[in-house]
Amino acid sequence: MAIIVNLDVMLAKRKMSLTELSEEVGVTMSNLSILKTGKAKAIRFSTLQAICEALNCQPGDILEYQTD
Amino acid sequence: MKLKKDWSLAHFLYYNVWIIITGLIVSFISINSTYLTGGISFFINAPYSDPMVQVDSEELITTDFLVNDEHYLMPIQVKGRFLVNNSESSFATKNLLLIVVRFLKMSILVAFFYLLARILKSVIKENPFDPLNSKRLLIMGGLLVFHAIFTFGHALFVADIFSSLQVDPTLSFKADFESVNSIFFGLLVMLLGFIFRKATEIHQEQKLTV
Repeated sequence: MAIIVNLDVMLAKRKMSLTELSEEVGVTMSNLSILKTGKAKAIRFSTLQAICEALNCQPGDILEYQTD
Repeated sequence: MKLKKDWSLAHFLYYNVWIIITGLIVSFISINSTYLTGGISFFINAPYSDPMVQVDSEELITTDFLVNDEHYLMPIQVKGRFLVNNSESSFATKNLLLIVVRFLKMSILVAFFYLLARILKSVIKENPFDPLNSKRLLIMGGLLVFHAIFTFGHALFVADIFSSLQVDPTLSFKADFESVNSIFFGLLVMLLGFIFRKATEIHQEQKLTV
């Protein structure tokens, strides 16, 4: 997969749990888990914006492109 | 999400499909029971009811006849002078083959309706976009195409039997191409299968959008 989701790295940096992020962002745990494990096929701008606000970071901190 | 009420039609159809499957099997057994009990009969029931009568026809007539108590409405056309004697002995040799052909036709239909029942079951379970459903639709389409070809083959076979039984050489039996038209229905169902495959992909994608 070319796009890597670094949500777990950012959570560790911010010392935040997935449950806390879920409550703050308003996205279900299962959906965040899908995102964290890289199973997600797409992410809405609104979700990305909410996560960036909660983690105080840029989209580039969460998503990373890697060549195969 | 409560969709139970919306899927009540699926419930209704699901149970109906099982009734159709049971009906197909029961009718197959009852039709062929005369063979199993040893009774062999052969009548040409129409266009005139008496098999011993001479029919002089100049027009094409769709036959409607009775073999082993099964009322055939085969797409066969008859033309010519019609004189049929008691032909039990010559028909008996091909009777088993006819049963095999009928069994295969019935099996195709049972398989078709079984797959339909499985699709309806997935709809009842509120999971119509099961990835298996597109495969099922593709197989169902293939079965319909195969059934249409098989029906034509069956008609050819029966026409061949009648040709071998004829007394008057001017009488001719030909299988009609009418049944082949249903190939298009099969292809249509296959097309639906391809559309369903795409729909399933979109549904999966939508489900994994965060």
